Amino acid sequence: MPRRRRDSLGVSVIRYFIPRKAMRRRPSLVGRTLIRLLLLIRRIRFRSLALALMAFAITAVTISVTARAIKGQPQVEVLWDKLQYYAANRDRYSVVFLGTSRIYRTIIPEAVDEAMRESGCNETTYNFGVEGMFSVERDYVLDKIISERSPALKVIVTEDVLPSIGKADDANYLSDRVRYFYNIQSLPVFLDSLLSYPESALDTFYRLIYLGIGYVREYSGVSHLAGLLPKVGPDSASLYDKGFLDNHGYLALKAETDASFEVRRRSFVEDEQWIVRDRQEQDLKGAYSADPRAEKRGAHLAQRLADIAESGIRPAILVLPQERPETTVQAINTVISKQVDTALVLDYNKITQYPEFFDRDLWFDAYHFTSVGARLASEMIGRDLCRAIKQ
Amino acid sequence: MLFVDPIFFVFFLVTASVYWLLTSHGWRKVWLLAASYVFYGAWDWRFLFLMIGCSAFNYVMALIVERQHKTGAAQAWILPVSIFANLSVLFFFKYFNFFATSLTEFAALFGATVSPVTLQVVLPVGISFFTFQAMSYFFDVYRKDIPAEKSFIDVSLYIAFFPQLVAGPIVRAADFLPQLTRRRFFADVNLRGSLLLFAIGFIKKACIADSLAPYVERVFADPATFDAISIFSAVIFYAMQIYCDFSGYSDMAIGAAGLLGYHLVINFRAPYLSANITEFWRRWHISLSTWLRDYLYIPLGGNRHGPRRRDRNLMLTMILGGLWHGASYNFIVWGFMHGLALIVRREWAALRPAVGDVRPLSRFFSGLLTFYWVCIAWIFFRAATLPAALDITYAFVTLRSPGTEQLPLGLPWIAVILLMASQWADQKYGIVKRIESVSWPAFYGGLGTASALALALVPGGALPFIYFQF
Repeated sequence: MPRRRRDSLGVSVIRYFIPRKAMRRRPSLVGRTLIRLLLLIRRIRFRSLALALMAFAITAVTISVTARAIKGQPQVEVLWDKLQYYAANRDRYSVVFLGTSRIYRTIIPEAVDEAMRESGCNETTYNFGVEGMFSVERDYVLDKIISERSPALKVIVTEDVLPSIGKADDANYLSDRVRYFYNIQSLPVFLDSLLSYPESALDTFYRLIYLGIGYVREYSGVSHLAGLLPKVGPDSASLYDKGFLDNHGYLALKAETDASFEVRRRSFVEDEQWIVRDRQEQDLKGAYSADPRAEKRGAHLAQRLADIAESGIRPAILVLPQERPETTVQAINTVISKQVDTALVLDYNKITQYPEFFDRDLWFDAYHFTSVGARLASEMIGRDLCRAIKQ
Repeated sequence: MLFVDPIFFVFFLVTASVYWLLTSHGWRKVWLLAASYVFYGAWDWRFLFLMIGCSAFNYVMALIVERQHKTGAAQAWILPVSIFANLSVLFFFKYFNFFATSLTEFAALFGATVSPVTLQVVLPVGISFFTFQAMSYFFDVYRKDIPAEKSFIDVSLYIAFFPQLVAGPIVRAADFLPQLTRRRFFADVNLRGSLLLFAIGFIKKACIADSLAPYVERVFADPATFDAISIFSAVIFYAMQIYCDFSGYSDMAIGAAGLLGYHLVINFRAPYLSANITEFWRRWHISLSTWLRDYLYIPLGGNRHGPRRRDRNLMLTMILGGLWHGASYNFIVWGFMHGLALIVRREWAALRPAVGDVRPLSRFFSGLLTFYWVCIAWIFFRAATLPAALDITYAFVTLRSPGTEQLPLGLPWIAVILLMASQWADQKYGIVKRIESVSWPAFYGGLGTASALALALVPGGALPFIYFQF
């Protein structure tokens, strides 16, 4: 007697869920699609698919890990060099400024030190500003400085608003610059940064998806072997040649610096209303403190400042002047000043108190000082910082 | 949307899944057409109207021509009107500025001043491909090779089918439309063959062509600064780059179409292993060379009216073939060089007809000569201007250059040698077919491993396909 052929999984599911009577009728469109899906699944050889995926995963992760070990972490311009330089010279510095290009292009360490010396403080400053530094970078650098801190380090000054944890910078999560951080060691830092940030579960999930894509991309090994091959293009100028390491991390902003700066400079010179429109646009993206979630962001920054304080280093927030102070809402400062009483708050974005900063000639563009403006600001910051340290 | 973009893989997965899930053959075609329009519209949705217009025009013209065939009331106007309308679209978008500027320069030669009229026209991606496909459909109906298609969806899908839409292969209506009449079954799909072809195409494009591109780019941008060996190598690398780029795209197109159950014609058969230029054109961009042969060379008279007319037809076909690639004198020179080589080859064959099998050594040296000539022609294809092309040609032929800068040439040369060796081995031993028939663990395990290796070798940032511009 021939053996009865067993039903496949798909047919068994259909038999289980669809009553015998209903089976005799012509199924509806949904029913037909469901049946078709099951039949299609039957045709796909899952063992083949699973084997291909497994082989892919093993090879890709091996390549990714090996290439990382051979090449080391990629040299993200400026940040990488500053980290290396700071690691080698950390005992020299007692004050570290951390933030975006506004720190990078404003804080002249020698001018800050000179002003502090004149006020009776013998400190040495390091500028850890990086163009467009975003929160994961800031948190990463901060954690690195704290965990490997030198006994010489007394104060960490960070910018008030880091316009990155909002959705404006989602693309950064997939950029080569962030790729630098996608390794197993950094995963807790990332997760901590994302999960500890007070926001809706949906927003957290959204950002985690980006993070996941970033990690998948990194461990799929894309371009890792190609990155080990010799480069065809001319060698880029040594970062030491750019001069910022000799200046303790500061680099003056000049017209020829960068194409994007040139564009901003042109907009600044030719169109006075540009900054108002730009700020409104950034606000819409949630990048600046006019965002209704500004308080949440303030809370996140406050937590980071508390972390600094816990490690025995004095935290400080620096609010650099904006060329148009009226366009910025200072919600974050209010939150921080309420929550972290140990933090020094150096707020210069007050046109009535510091009118000298709002002379248009001191500005390179709407966000950055010229070197003259930077020196003026650095001297003022040096004096105020010394006074605050002494208190 | 590039075939090597991650977004394409998502797009294809969704398209193919829904396609195979649909039960109705008609709805499947509608779905594929919609997906093709989305694929094309991702570049510039405005040109969708151009493509739909092109499809509608040729659909109607084909129906008219068939009715005339049936009633026996053939009218002379229909063919010129169709050719004129199709070519005027191509001319407007692709050649208007070229001819307007050329006319101005020509008038200046005689002392006349003509103010140039140029238009700021964006070139629609793949216009040369879909226009030629649309024309071939009309010609086939006109010549009674196929009946006019009654379904507008079918004609539109034939013209817009996304795997081959923007860079070929140029599919013939006689090959493709019959495939649309019957339902496709997933069980009939050559899954292994299609996946393998797609993977090979990906490796050619993303790993080899894109890795060679920076070497070529640097030398062709400023040849005077490089030494002769670097220039010589860059020309060879360009020959390999354009082959891997274009044939890689074709392979991926054929593989993607295969996964949807459609068969597209093969477009390349190891062209650089050709023993002579005639053979080269039977192996390079086969869909274009056969199109030009069937719709241009033969209607011009082919070789039916003596050697002189034959040579004239050949030269005209190749120059127009060159011009098909783009509006530039460089492409005309490229076409002329190939036309000249084909004429010389025919004369040579007439003088010394081959007797029996060609000896391997003789085949090797004639193949080398053919490749050398093809490379010189590629210089004109790639260089920005005619003077630049002449400078590079001089350095390539004489191995002399005033420049001293050297490129690191070791790795790209290894890649080139491996590529040629794999082509030779596949031709001699049918390696790809053998891989297709290995056991399932070896095939799928190997495919997964090879895919990971290929991804790791992709240089950062995918470059667009060279043939998208044509």
